[in-house]
Amino acid sequence: MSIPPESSSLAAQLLAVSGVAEIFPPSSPIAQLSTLAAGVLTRSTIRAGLVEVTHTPGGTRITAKIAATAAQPARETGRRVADALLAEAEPGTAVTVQIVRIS
Amino acid sequence: MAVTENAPTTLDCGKTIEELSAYLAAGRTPPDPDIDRCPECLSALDGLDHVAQLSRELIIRDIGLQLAPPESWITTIITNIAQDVRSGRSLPLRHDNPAVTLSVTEGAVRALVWSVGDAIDGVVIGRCRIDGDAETLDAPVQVTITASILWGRSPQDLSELLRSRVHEALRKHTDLLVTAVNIVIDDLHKASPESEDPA
Repeated sequence: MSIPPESSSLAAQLLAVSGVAEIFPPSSPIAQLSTLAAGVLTRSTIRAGLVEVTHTPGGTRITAKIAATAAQPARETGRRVADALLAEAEPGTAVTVQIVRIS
Repeated sequence: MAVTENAPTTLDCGKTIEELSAYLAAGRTPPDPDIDRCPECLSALDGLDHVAQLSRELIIRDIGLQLAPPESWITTIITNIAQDVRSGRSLPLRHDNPAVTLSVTEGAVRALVWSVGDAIDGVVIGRCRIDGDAETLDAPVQVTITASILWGRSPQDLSELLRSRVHEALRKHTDLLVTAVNIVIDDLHKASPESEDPA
């Protein structure tokens, strides 16, 4: 059984993906607190960081919010980021990538 | 830059345009990580920076010109920036793995349109709207851009240039099925020093 990826190592890998300008926290600090509180209630484990890794009884979800450079097609950058996360994730992991800025 | 007290200028993240204007005026110092790590704030700062530059040019050119814009013009643009940088809807992007949910925020796309317009000499974007079921892949959408253009320039030429560049940018960066890019020229503004004919 593989070890679930850590948020910090995933963030470092994503920054190396071509076309990624920046990684943003998945949610605002206030929203992160709410999420953590909700995690206690639902018995899920959330590793806070630039890339959010959530473990629930239903499976693992990795969430990343990125800024893409305008020099490259943002949609292609997003696909590369998703592929990079899938490559590190356990089978069955759901991956969510949102481009929040194109600069 | 003055911002009217009644203008809805609070972003979804809680920061206000007034705070961001002050931060910009202070040269983004001391660094505020809440702003520097927020995509909405960064997009708003880009827009405010452009408006600030435009304001300086208008002030410099104010003497001797007859087309002084109303004070509300800049304020309206600033208010629109606050509206357009909001995250809005999640616009899906294609990925062949069903375990992947890939999207771009509506706010990022609108900010992209603003940056495309800002790069065209003589065009100032006022508002950008995406109409249609943009949250569904392959659903047709229309983009409507309200803009001001430089006094003396051809509205038809600038509109066509803006339309083609926006269409190109949306095709490059998104998976939106854009069936039309509508340009509404609703104002004229004065010449900037760089664009003035020296003759």
